[in-house]
Amino acid sequence: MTVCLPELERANDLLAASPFAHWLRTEAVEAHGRIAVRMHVDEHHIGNPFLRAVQGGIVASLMDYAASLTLSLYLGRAELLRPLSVNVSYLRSVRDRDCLADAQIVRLGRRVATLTTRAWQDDAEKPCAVSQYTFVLS
Amino acid sequence: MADDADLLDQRRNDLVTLFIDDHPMARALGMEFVEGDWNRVVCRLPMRDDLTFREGAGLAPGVLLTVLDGVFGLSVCMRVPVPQAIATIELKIDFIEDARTDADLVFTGECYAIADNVGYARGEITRQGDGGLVAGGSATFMLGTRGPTFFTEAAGEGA
Repeated sequence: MTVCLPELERANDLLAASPFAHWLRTEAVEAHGRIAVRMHVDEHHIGNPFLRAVQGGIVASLMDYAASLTLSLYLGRAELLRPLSVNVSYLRSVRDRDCLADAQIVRLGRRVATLTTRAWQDDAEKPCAVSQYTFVLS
Repeated sequence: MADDADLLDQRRNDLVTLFIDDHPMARALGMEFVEGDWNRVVCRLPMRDDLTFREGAGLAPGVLLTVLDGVFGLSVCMRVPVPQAIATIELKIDFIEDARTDADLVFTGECYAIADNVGYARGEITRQGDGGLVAGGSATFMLGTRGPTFFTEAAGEGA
């Protein structure tokens, strides 16, 4: 499975319309056959300056965009959807190099959508964080 | 006893400096320390257009996640102000109302328990002015993780 170019362009248009996505230094890319969000880690993403580890909330923000982007693209929305709730588990520290995140729709109901996300650096099979997102659809 | 109390106060002041005033991420986001005590921290985040979810909207959910995580972490360190590194294990947030463009936000974090080297924090995000609830959340932190501590590095004693 591959991501078609128009879908990738649409994903980057959605991210470009979000000022905080720019602050995070994100871009939509293809990874493992699906849309992912890549974050170019910068000094202002670092939570522990002594370990050069990215702050947990920044990693959650990256997964936030992966979930919103995946759901908005699937539903053909013109704007990124905002989540209702998020639950993040941190598995490994995130160091100061690029980090990626993607999302999967677990269930899409009439009013509620549930997605899982993962964030990784070197190996997607060894995520540094996973999360579950809930969205209310209007 | 007075010396111990003074030392704790000094360490808590140092933590605020390290977590907020001198911290690159906190400074880049514009976080401001409002008040704090032995287990509770209050910070303010001014509304800024470059941190919004989309043009004309309020602050992005990711901004709320990031700042609340920082406030939770600081509240845990305030409760146990001994030299040690900490790491977030879990973070949960419910977004109750959209952050609006006409109000700065107030982040309150409270470390309500420490057990088996795990710190537990909970808190909320409210609008400054009318006090409207924007989000609520909780987090757990592992204490004493690997690596240099903020205190040792600040004192120039790091590895």
